[in-house]
Parts: sequence; C-alpha cells; structure tokens
Amino acid sequence: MTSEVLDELVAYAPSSSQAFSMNASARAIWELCDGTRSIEDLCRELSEAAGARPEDLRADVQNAVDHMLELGLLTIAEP
Amino acid sequence: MAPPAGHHSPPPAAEVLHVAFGSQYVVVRSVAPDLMAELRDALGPMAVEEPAGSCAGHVEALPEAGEVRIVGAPGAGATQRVSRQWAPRELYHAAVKLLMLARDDLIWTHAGVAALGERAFMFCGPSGQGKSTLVAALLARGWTYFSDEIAAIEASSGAVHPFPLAPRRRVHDGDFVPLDDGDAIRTLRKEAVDFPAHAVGARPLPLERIYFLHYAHVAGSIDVVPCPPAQSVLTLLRNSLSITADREREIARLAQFASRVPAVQIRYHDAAAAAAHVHADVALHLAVSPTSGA
Repeated sequence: MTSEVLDELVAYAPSSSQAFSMNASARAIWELCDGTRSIEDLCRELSEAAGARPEDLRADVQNAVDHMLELGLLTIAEP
Repeated sequence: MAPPAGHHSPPPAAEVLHVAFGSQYVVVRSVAPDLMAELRDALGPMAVEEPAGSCAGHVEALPEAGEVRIVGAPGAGATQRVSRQWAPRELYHAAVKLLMLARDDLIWTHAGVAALGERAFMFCGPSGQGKSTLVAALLARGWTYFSDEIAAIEASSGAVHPFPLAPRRRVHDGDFVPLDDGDAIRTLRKEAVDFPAHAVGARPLPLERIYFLHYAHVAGSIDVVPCPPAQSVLTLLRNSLSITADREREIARLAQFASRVPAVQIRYHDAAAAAAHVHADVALHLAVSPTSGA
C-alpha cells in the first residue's frame, strides 16, 4: 500500500507492519521498477528527467535499488 | 454518638464530573471525593459542570477494599481493578479514550499545541523531549494554550482542536538524570503550569507548522531543519495515539495531513531558549504571511 505525500511517497508493508518513506528521487526509482527494466534502463530514463548522463547516475541508482531490496520494497523479478 | 443498632448510613452521594471536548463529553462518577479532586486537577479546563452536546460514555470509580473498581473504561472488559494510587490516572485515560473513540475521524497525536494569533503550531515528540516545557514557555510569552500532550487534528483541513488537559511540566530537583534517557525523564516529578483562563483555545484553528522535537544532550545552538513530508508521516505515525487498528487508513490520513502542513525538526538543549527561538521565528513568519482578514 502506498500514500502520496506531495512528490514523496510512504509505502506500508502489512505483512511486516513496517512503513517506509521515499523522497522524490527514491520514489521515481521505485516507480520505474516494474519488473521489466534493468538498472541501465532506470539510469537512462532517469537521466532525461535529471538532465544528467546515465553513467553519472549508475552508482546512486544501484545503491537505492540495493537498499530497497534490503528493506523488502523490491524483489528480483524472475527472468 | 453511634447510630442505633440496625441503622444503615445512607450511601455517600456520588460526585459527577463531565469531561468535555467540542460537542462530546464523558461522564465520570465516583463516591470518592479525593479521587475526583485529583482527576479534576488533571483534567484542567476540560472538566466542566454543564456539558453540551452528546455523551460519549460513562466511567464510574467504585472504591472497594483498598482498591478501586473502574467500570466503563474502553478496551478493559466490563471492569478493571486498580490501586487507589493509580485510579485517577486510569479514569483520566478512560475518559480520554472514550473521547478519542467518539471522534475517530480525527488524527490523535502525542504532541503539544499552542497558538499565536489565529494560527496553531504543534510540538511533537515522545515523552521526555520537552513538549510540556516548551508549551509552558510559549504560554509565558502570551501564546494560547491548546494542549501539552494530545493533539486532535482534522486530516482534511489541517485544523487542530483544543484539548486543554491541565498542562504539567517535568521538574528537575537537582539529582543527576540523563536527559537523553526517556525512561529516566519519565521518573521526574511533574508540576502544574499556571496560565490565565482566557489563554485557553476556544475553537479549532488551522495548524501552520509542525515542530518535531529532538532533545540534544550537549548544550549548543538551536538547529532547525525542514522535515521531508514523507518522513513527517512516519514520525507522526510513531507518535500516533489513534485507537484505530487500520494502519493503512491512518497512514493515508497522515499523508493527507502532511501534504497540507509543513514540518521542521528542531534540535535543542534548553527549552526556554527554544521557546524564544520558536516565538521569534513564528512572529516573523506571521508578519510575512498574515492570516487573511487579520
């Protein structure tokens, strides 16, 4: 379950009764993670909005995705 | 002179107190006047003689063999037995919970609230972060009292209702207490805060800003930083007093509220200095963005 808070997001996992906040950048990454995109796809799409080169976003996007995986906000899609 | 054999004294008359909140009230009854006096002190301006509106419930305290049987407290079954020492607190909590249940459309948060002019400001944080002390310091600067520990908020409008239980601040008697230790702080004695009766909020006001309080155990400058709105939702959730078991509904309401009302985090060591800072900051803010019609 998610709730929008201006351009940010609160995600709630009923199974663990935990809630997480996402700022606008984290939200943009999380919303693009639909099971079809790779990290490179995310960087490419985010770079257009951020006005930066995809390779400059790679480390931050990877870190954010790793953190969301750790928190259970994302799971790895089966190929 | 002893009564004649077979004579039974009439039972003592029950004393009745009404705990009023907006258009709701709770009736508290007991034959123990000392217990009711303690309760009246704790309720402050919320204890009224002539209630208006609709009754949200009845609570009765029946002294029995050194204990007190409390009837009507929500969530405690038909009755509960407590020691005399804890009876006023249990009655107080029972009355507050009945009002919360009656108004479960509101967001209930562990926070102090005070107003300057026509705008209210909320000071949110767990016990020991200085809510009561900060609110008391603002009252001394002419602010209007809304609450020192319970905030009742309309999610859709962001308006906050007065919930003016008697304000009490913790007193440090000189023994060493680690002031960053919430459990230790809760052992400190509380004393009543004096304030004029006309300084109590009479109607809901729009909430202008939330201050999330962080006590700094090292003296230093006061630090105020904006709180991202999603983070504000999580902090409000941690301090929620709402009785609802529906976590998703509560988060949605808090998200709606946090979208309307900006929040900051204030880190401070000295409550009086923090109150001076908040007062100056708010006075400047209101001068720049005055209330419409003010």
